[in-house]
Amino acid sequence: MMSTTMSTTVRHPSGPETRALIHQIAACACTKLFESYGVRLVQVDPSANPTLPVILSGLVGFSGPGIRGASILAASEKPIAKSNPVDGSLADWIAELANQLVGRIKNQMLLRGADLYVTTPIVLPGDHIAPMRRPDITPLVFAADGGSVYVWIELETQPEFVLGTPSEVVSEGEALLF
Amino acid sequence: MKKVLVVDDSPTIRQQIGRALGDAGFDVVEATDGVDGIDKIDSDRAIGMVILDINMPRMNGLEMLEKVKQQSENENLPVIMLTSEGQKSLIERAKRAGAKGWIVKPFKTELLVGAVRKLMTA
Repeated sequence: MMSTTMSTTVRHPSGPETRALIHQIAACACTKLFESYGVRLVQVDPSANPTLPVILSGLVGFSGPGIRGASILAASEKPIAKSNPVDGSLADWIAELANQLVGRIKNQMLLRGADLYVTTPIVLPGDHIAPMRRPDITPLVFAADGGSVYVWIELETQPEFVLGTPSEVVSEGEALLF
Repeated sequence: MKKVLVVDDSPTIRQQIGRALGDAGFDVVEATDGVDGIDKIDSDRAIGMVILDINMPRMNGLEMLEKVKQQSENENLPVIMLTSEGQKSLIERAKRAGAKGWIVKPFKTELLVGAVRKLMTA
């Protein structure tokens, strides 16, 4: 089933407004992504310390007219392992999760009339990985059974960035045969 | 039984698809990106279907699809795109290039197997 939103008004959102929108979309997207692989996440206060150290991070860049940025998905071992559909590499799996997370964000932005192009994922292994502290990059933090999941969104927008005519999008998990 | 080629840069996804199709009685071969996928098709004429990701290094899935379908011997080779992308314009591009299906990740095993069965017997 193709999805579209109803509004076709072209808007030029401010940087903070765009950041708030993408944070809201990313929080929902991350929860639904892990849920689709059998792991329940609960969003918690960003100032909360991780219950267990982050062991892997997956980074995916994105850009579009008047917008560019990156999404970092980081997690401790158990949420990555429990969501993995096969008994395979956790590093590979967080790359795929990072890719699917940005895919979900992109699909939601398309529904709001903004197009994004995404890069292939990069995996960063290591304990306690986090971006340098910046007031404009607040992590989304999720508690999971046996660990934590983090999402950082790095984002820059230019005045030409618009939310305009919605694109049609096929939802996650759906299939079309031609 | 014809072979199904699975082209995805994620070993986890290849393994997940391989297991699902293997359990359903299909013979599965794997490729890691578009370049590898074209090599596999050129060297193994028993391949009768392709499951193809889009966002991959070296050559993405849409580029691979277009190159494969330019070869007349692959005109009837069914290709299903399996990707995190759901954008209508990309779906239309794949359809114009000759793809027979589009599935947005995460996929349901029964949906994928059903689509492969339907296209393999069409």
